[in-house]
Amino acid sequence: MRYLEVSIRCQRAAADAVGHLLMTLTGGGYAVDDPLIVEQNRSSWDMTDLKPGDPEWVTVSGWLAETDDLEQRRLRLEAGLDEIRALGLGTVDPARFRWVQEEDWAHAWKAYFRPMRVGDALVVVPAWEDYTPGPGEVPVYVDPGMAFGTGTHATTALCLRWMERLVQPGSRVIDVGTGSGILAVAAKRLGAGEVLAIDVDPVAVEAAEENARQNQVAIDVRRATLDQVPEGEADLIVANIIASVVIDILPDVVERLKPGGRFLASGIILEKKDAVAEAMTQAWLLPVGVREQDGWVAILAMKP
Amino acid sequence: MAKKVTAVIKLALPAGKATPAPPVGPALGQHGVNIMGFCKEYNERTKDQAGLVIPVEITVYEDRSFSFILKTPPTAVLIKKALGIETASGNPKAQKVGKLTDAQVEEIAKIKMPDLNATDLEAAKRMVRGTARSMGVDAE
Repeated sequence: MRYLEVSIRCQRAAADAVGHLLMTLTGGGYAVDDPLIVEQNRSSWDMTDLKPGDPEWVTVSGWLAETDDLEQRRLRLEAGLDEIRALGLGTVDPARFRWVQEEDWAHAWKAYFRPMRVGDALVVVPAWEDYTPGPGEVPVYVDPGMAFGTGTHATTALCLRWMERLVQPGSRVIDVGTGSGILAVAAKRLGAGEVLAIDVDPVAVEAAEENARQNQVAIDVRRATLDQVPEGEADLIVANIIASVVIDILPDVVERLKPGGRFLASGIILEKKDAVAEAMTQAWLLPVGVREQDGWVAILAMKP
Repeated sequence: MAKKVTAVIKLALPAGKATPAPPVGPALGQHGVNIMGFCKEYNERTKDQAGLVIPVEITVYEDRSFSFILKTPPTAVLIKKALGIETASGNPKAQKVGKLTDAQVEEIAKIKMPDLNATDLEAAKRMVRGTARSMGVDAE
């Protein structure tokens, strides 16, 4: 089946009327390309290349299934747009049309995720792949849901590669801001003993629990902040978050590491490298290594 | 981890009834988002509002993970709800299906002000009245 994609650029005041018209003709929902969303949210995003456009204009899109009465519905659309124009709600541009082939939308997105070797041993594998690990390979299965962390991002890859060296048999590991749980699962797969994964986001906690089940590893996943975790027990704490949060949690990190324990901090943009390293030193953590990839930095520190 | 936002998508969908068919499929598919995951989550969070259209703003991140927030129903849906009608007029000029009081217009305008980007309540009320007229609904 094909769909006739209809896009109508209009002034904001007319958008709801245009959307309602599309709903009556498609029987489903509609999409709105709204520059105001970018303008309203930019300050709360970590980073983006999206540019705010003219907030006065939006583009409303709907999809008409190719059925026998398509031409009739197209004519009703044109007539409906004329009526909206006559109301003086604002300018409504002529509708633009293009054909869209129906796809297996429910599964097409999976094409973006393929097994990926990230270190000497670790291979991140989408949960649905029937993957046979090669000699020495350690697969980590991840079902990319809403939560962050599919292993493909530089910040996660930096952590995974370093963890291959840092995780010793029986190590006690804490993963702060676990997201999808990928680092916690990898720690366990690499031979860690107790692994505690924490996150403040309930969606992340659920995703991490599910990914732990999928990998058949026992991980203690909690909705918590690091200050709620017992002190003085960890051999390794990993935090793939952002620079400001890494700096904020340093006192809690120090209290929860054993002497000689390591702290692996990632999610740090290059410009923040020195600030994080300096804050580590002030918190009595000794930076012992820095690795960089695609403008991102991971810093390894040791508790003396 | 610092999250880079690569796309924002706004969809108006029937509460509890999102499927991979349009508009969800074509709108989200191109960004590599887990569409079934989105539909499941959206339906779960809107199931108690069946019969309404609940817009959703989806934020897509660099690694194709996503988050979303639910918004207030479109003006047209609020008008239908206020009047207790199922469908709007097929011929808004000739066939009228109801009339909104000034208080109803004001109530809807207040709900929709953030989305309409209106500078004052009167401007928002004008927009609500206009949408009402496009549906065959008179407004005071």
